[in-house]
Parts: sequence; structure tokens; C-alpha cells
Amino acid sequence: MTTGTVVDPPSKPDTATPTTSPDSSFPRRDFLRVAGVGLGAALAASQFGRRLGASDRTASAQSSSPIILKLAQHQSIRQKIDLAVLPLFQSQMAAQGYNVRVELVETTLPDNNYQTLVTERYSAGTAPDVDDYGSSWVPGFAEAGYLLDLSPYLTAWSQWPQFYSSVVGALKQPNGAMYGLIHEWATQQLFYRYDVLQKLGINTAQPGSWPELITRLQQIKAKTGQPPLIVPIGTQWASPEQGMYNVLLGTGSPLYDQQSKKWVVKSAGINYVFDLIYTLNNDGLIPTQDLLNPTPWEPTKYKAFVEGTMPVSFQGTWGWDYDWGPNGSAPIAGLDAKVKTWDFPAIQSNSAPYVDATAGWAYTVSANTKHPAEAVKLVEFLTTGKALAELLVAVGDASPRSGIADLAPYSQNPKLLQAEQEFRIAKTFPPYPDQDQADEAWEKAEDGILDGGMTGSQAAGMFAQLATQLIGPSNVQN
Amino acid sequence: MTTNVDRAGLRAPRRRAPPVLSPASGKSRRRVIWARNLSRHDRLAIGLMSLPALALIAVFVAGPALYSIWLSFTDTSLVGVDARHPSFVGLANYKFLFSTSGFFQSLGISAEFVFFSAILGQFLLGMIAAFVLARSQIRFKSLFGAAILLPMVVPEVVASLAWGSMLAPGNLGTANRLIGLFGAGPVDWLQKAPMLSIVVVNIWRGIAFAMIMFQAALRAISQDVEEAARVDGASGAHLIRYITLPLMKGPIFLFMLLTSITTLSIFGLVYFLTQGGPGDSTNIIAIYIYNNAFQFFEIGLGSAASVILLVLVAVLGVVYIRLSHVEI
Repeated sequence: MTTGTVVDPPSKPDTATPTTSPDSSFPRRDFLRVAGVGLGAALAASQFGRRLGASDRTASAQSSSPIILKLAQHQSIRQKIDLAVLPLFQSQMAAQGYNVRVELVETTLPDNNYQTLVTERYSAGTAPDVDDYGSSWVPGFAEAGYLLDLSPYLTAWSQWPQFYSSVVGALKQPNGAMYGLIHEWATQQLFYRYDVLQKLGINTAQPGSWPELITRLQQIKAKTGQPPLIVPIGTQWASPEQGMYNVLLGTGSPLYDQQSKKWVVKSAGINYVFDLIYTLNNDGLIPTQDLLNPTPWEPTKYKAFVEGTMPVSFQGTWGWDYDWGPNGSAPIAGLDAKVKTWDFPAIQSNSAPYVDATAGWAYTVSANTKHPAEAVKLVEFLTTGKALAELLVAVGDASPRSGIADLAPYSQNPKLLQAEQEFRIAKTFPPYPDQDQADEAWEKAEDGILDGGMTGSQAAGMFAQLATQLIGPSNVQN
Repeated sequence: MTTNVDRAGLRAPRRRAPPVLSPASGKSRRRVIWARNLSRHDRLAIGLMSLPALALIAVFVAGPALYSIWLSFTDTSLVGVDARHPSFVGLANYKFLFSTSGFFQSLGISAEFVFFSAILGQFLLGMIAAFVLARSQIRFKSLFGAAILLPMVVPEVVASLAWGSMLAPGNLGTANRLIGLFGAGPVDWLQKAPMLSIVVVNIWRGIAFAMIMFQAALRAISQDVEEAARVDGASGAHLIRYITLPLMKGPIFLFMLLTSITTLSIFGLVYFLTQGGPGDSTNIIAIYIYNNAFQFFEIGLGSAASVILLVLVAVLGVVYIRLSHVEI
């Protein structure tokens, strides 16, 4: 038997299709009829649409319809607080003669997915009037022209002087404008399971240096067989401000030079941090596999720390309520007795252990809002009095302003009150322009160590190269 | 349409009227003959009736594709200064992609994924299913057919979530329960064997399409040819090797082309299972593009990666068509 020589393919539909016959032609009369009907329908539809639009406008102009403000929230705990306090805002506005109604846009999503969504909304011009998200997103959105400059409104606000100077400093962009109002502030430290370390016989005194801490981590690992330290590292966690930026702050090397307004992508401090990541990874002291997976906080912070198998974690004050509190994502029974904190160990020879302060979420107003004054009024209301006191306790963050410490339930939370005192003197790294690009380069370089087999110096080199490409050579210090 | 006829020298004689096309007719000649027989107002009517489709293609396919090509030469971003003032950067995005390992790594992962899941897995299992269901003595044939077809009608996200549950770590995952019956301990499939996991899921989802294509091709083969071969003493294996498969060459290569393109563009199935992880181990090109464009908001860079993918798919298509000598 041979192939392809004697096989005559059976006739295919091709043979029948392109023939023309009188039956298949389209008579001129039918064609004109169809075209005429189509044209008439199109004209009628356009006229109807025009009249409908005109009647809408007339009705709108004649009625005293309320101003509708849209407020977006993507965390359910914040949505609950807003739903509870918004009627008060509406009644306050009504008392001042404003007919304002606030619609809560509830889109419950993880931060990274929400960032994609809100960016698309801004880009398409469909963003709600007021939004609420991490303050590290603000510079990128502000530079893109998506946000309203709040400076003229805030400086005219009677309660503005009550905001702490470090908050005001973090709000101001290099051009002096303020595009968001930070309404919560966290201090970050090393949280550890006191009960577990006691049981294992590990020293629980404040470690003075990173080598000392590493020795303790190795002792823990020798006894548990598990990586003991949870650090947000890599593209999956995507939060360097909760991770190794804390260590970088201790090196004294700035990542952004405020005088030249340029990023510093090569420094001894950066080398130190990536060498430290390499050591932690190489010695099996961090959960590398978990950090490379989606939602790395689930098996680590929400499971292993709760069970005590990974007993040390980089963590902010929100851990007391939002993460491990009685109503948190993964409650730890007897939290206050079981969990204690260390400051970050000193790095420079003449320095002491330190606490890092991080700007939390910020309210922003869309540049496209039709009601900027009312939208700012809403932002002011949400950062004032009981509305703020309730929110701070729910999310476990400190107040960025005075005048809240006496209000319940915030006044009943000593840890947050202490954090409010600490953050004013803590080291801090506020978000700067091109923060997203710098973070992206940092996270990818961290991944280079976690799964790419890079050394610390190679990862530092990768960060410098990537950051320069992404931020742009003109925005990077040579 | 195969060209075996050309090689056999059995070209049908040219006929003037009626203008029925022989399989061997050239494409351009067919168009001329067909167009010549249409009246002017028929042509106008066809043109007008094609307008909506052409407009849709222009607005939703050609326009965005051209715009994407333009974006790939700019530093357009969704955040930062570049969002407000994008500028022309020439080939900078392409240089960036070619100078970083991430892009090539993603292409390699995609090639592996396409080869094992689509070209090998779906093809083999789809072919076997088609052959088995073509046998008339099989009982409950329609039941088997429906079972194989079901994965195709399940939405991508639902399929991902269902498989995410099946491959879940610990004792609760369905896969772990199954291997537990044989005494094996639980396996964290998406961590220990992420590529194997997504390959299996994609094979499961794509068998139906392969089976449908191959079943249709099998049905198109004349029984007379097979009977003639049997009379000549051909065994079952000979029949498949020398008659069936050569006659199915066109559909097979067409399937390869379509499945390669659709598998290269898969996003949701993998994203919802692994998000490209652990690390970058399942970071297929679609996820790489998504991450650059919509996680890091570098639209210019994401567009450049898309354009390269488009070129690669076009080259792949041409290669398949040349290899198979089929007209698409």
C-alpha cells in the first residue's frame, strides 16, 4: 500500500458554494427595500435617543436631586464601618444645607487585584469620587493626573493642624501638593510567639544585632525543623514596605534622595539587605516555598504563626486586631500573653534597635469628580471623631492626628495608643514618585534570590538595573 | 483541501460553464470566476452586508491590534508620569525584553506547556477517543462522547476552581484521596508538580475539541477506500498508518495550529490555579504579559511582549500550513 497516490478526495462542499444562479441573486427591489427600512430605523432611533436625552436633562435641571458621592472600599471590615457612619455624615451635611447622599461601592478584593481594578477605573475615567487604599499607591496615581490636589482644602480645614508633622511630611509630594489624606499609621516591629520561644528555651530579650537574631533563629530551626522567620519577600507578597525596607531603614542608606528628588539604586545599605536575604534563604530560616506561592501570608502568618511553628514575623500594629485579634483573619486565643514584640535589631555600630513607622491607607479624591468640595468634606468627616476611632480599632492602626486618643473604642486600646506615641519618633519611609516601579524592581530582585539562585550582590545588581530601566535613568542617582 | 490530487496527476479537466470549482482550482482563479458571475448590484449588496462584520473586525480586532503595535513603541503606563505624557521610545521595550531573562523564560515555559498539553496530550487522547467512538459496536457511545465533551462547556474559571479543589494539599484534596486509597501520603500537587498539574488540566479541557475534529475527519473518509485496502490485504494497523492518517493530515495539522494558538493564549486556567508560581515555574507568556501590563502597569512593555507573541504565532501558523500543504 502506498500513500497519497490513488486517493481521490471525496467531493467537498467547495464544489457547490460559489456557483451563481438566478435564484441566489439578490433582487434590486429587495435590496432597496432592506436598505430603506434599515436607514429609516436608524434615523428613528437617533431622533428618539436625542429626545430622551433632552427630557432627562430637563427633568434633572428642574428637580432638586441630591448630590451623589461614590465612596469605594475593598475590605469588608472597612465597608462595615463606613456603612455604620455614613448616615451621620449625610445628616451633618443636611444640617449645613447640603443635600448629599453617599453610595458605598463595595468591591471586596485582595489589594493587588484591587490596585489593578482601581487603576483601570482611573484610566477609563470611571473612578468613584472618593477611594481608600494604601498610601504607597498615591504618588503613582497623582503623577498620572488621576487625583485631586487636596492642599487648598486641607490647609483651610480647621482640624488640619491636628495632623502630626510626620504625616503631613509623608503626604506632601515633591511638588508640594497633597493628593491623599492618610488616616491610619502603623508601627512595624518583629512580633514573636513568647510562649513558643519560652517552651523551646530560646532567649526572648531584645536582640541587639542581626547576627544575634540569626543565631536565635538557627536555634529555633534546630529544635523545630521549620524555617522560623516570616518576612514579606518577593513578588507574590508584593509588600517590601512591610518587609525588607524596614531593614534598609536601619542601614542609614536612603532609597530616595529628597534633595535631588532621585532614587538611589546602589548603596552599601542595599547590598547589606540583599546579602541578609541571601543568608536567611540559604540557611533555610525563611519559608522560601511559601513565599513563592500565591497568597504567601495564608500558610505563614495565618497558619504557621498561629500554630507556633513559625514563631517570629515582621509585622505591623494591625497584627493585634486585623490579623490575630478576636475578630481578625486568624485569631490567636490569649494573644496578649502569647505574642510579644522586638524592635528591629540595630545595623550601624553606633545605633540602637528601632521601630519603623509606616503610612497606612489614605483617602483620595478623583480628579474627575463633579463635586470636589463635597468629596473633600466626606474625607474630612471620615478622618474625624468617632468615624476614625472606630476604623482605627477595626484595622489595628494608630491615629495620624491628635484628638482621637480620648474617643472610644480607640481610647480603650493601649497598644494603639502606645503606637501613636512611637510612630512620631520612629524611622519612616514614606511613598515617593515612581514608588510602584521601585517596588517592582525590588520584589523581582528578591525573587532572584528565592528561586533564581542569585547571591546578594547579584540581586542588588539586578535591582539597580531593573529600577533604572523602570523608573528611567533621569530619575535615578548615578 | 489536500493536494494529493495534484501529485497524483488527477487534476480535473477545466470547465467553462457552469463555473463549478474543482478542488485543484487556484484560489485567485476561483475568486475571479466567482466575481465575474455576479451582477453589479449583487456585488454592492454583498459589500453592504459585509460592512457590519468588517466594521466589527476593524473596531474590535484590527484597530486594537494596530494600537497595540503602536503602544509597543511607547513608554505608555497606567500610573506615574508616563501615564500622562507617554512618549515614543522606539525599540526600547523590545530591547528590554530581549535583554532580560524573564521573557525568554516565559516563552520556554509556554513552549513546554503547549507541547505536552496540546500537541502531545490533547492530540493523542483526542485521537484515541475519536477512533474508539468511531467503532459502531461500542455501547453507550453517546454517553462516553458526552462525558468527554463536558469539560469543554465548563467555564474556564469554574474549571480552574474545581481543579484547585481537586489538587488541594492535605487529605481533603480529591487527588490525594484517590492516591490515599493506594496507601500514598498527601502530595502538594501545585507546589511539587505545578507544570504537570496545569498540563493535565489543559489536556482534560482540550480532549473534546480534538475528538470532535478527528471524528469529523474520520467520517469524511470514504468507506470504499478502506474496504478496497482490506481487499488488498491491509491489516488494521496498516489501514490506520497508510490510509486513515494520511487522509487526516489536513485536519490533524489544522488541529495542531488551532490548539497551539489557543493554548499559547490560555490565561485564566493557569492564573487561577498557580498565578504563574511557585516562583516563575508556570509563568506562561500570557501571565507574563498580564503581570507587566496590569500588575506593574507597563502597558508599552506588555504590548511589546504581545506583539512578539503575535509574530511567533503567525510564524507557527505558516510553518504548520507549509508542513501540511493545506489551505486554511
